[in-house]
Amino acid sequence: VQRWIDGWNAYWFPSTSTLALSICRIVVVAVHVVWFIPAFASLPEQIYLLEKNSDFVNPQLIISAISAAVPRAAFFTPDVFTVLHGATLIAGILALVGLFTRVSLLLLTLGTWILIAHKYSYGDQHHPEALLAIFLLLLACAPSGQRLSLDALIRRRVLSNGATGLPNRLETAMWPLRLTHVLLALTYFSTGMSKLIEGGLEWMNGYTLQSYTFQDAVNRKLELGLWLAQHHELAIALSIFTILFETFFFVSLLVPRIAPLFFVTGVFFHLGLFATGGHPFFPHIVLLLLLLFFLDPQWWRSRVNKYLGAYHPSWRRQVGLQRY
Amino acid sequence: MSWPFLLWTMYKDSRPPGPIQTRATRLMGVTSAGNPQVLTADIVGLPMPTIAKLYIKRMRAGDSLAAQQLFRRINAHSPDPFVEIRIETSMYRLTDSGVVLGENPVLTFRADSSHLN
Repeated sequence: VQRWIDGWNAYWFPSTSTLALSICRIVVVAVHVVWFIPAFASLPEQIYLLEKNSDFVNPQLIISAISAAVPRAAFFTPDVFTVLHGATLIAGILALVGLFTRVSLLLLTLGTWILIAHKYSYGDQHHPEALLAIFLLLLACAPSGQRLSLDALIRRRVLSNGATGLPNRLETAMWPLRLTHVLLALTYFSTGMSKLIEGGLEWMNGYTLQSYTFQDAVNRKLELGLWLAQHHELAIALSIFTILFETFFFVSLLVPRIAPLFFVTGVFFHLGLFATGGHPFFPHIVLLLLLLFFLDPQWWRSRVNKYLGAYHPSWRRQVGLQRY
Repeated sequence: MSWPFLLWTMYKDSRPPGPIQTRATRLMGVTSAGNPQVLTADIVGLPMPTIAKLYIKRMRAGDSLAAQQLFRRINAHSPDPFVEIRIETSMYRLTDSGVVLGENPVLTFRADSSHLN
């Protein structure tokens, strides 16, 4: 039993530099505030939904919970949502610079969840922002403000002896990335298996992908999608690739050595989906890139050593890389 | 399941071999002053997929009650009320020579009319 517990702890809680998680915080929050909130939870959209509806079509759980506690007329108004939207952006800026990092991240998460859940309470629901919204919560629960933050700067100033007062390596700085990896694997497995179970092997007959792509490309005016829809053999090949990628992404959990290949493939998979079908899974691209660079920094270090260090020993010395 | 904890079952159904076609729908409104206007999500106050599900699908089946419900919704805050709603449908079909476009008859609904015009 102890071996299992040790294995569990080694997977979720290895001693890790807190720098990677801090960089993740900055990247995710910056992209979220500048791009994703305006794109996925725009204030004008929130306001017209509030102004033109006296009830929800299909309230999400968060919205039902708020409605149960607060009368609709008191909370679901353009004025309240304008304040909520502004407060969410301010919390995002504070989280970005790392001031009251955990509280700011928690408020950013809360605001984001309410805004997006509200938008999806009118009968139309989509997936692109879901995992990133969960990742924001994970950042709030982890020491993501330990480095590269005003909190860290203030701590250093208070101590005045140059020390940060907190260690640079922690056992709690890796689990958010590991959990995000697991969640990504679950979502891809879920969508891959649903195609195999509901659609069967016929899902890979080419006609299925041609039909879906054609439908999306026509309605979203996507030239590349129209082109793809007219190439049956290519549609068969991409259908097989889609099923293989989605169903077997979980292998990256079992064989960490090849995980970066899955992450790179995932980035191009989503770029392809956007170009041909208009599916804006940019939050997934951000998460995949974070995992690519920060889930296993040793992987990159060894590649740099192997491919660059061997040919440029002087450069290796300069950046302080050692052969392992 | 509720956002953000969702089932991931998008695009799960397969399509049999056969014609590949799709339709693009445009919802138009004409105001009492005679101004034609595309009825977008922000004018109706609902996302387009919801508008399609709650109104367009039923109106295509000749349900004029759905049309009257839509009139009530879009005229609730409008100083220049809509008196006519048109559903314009273009059919796109893939052929060996490329994409072929065809227009379906326009469905027209008038305010306070009990039937499809």
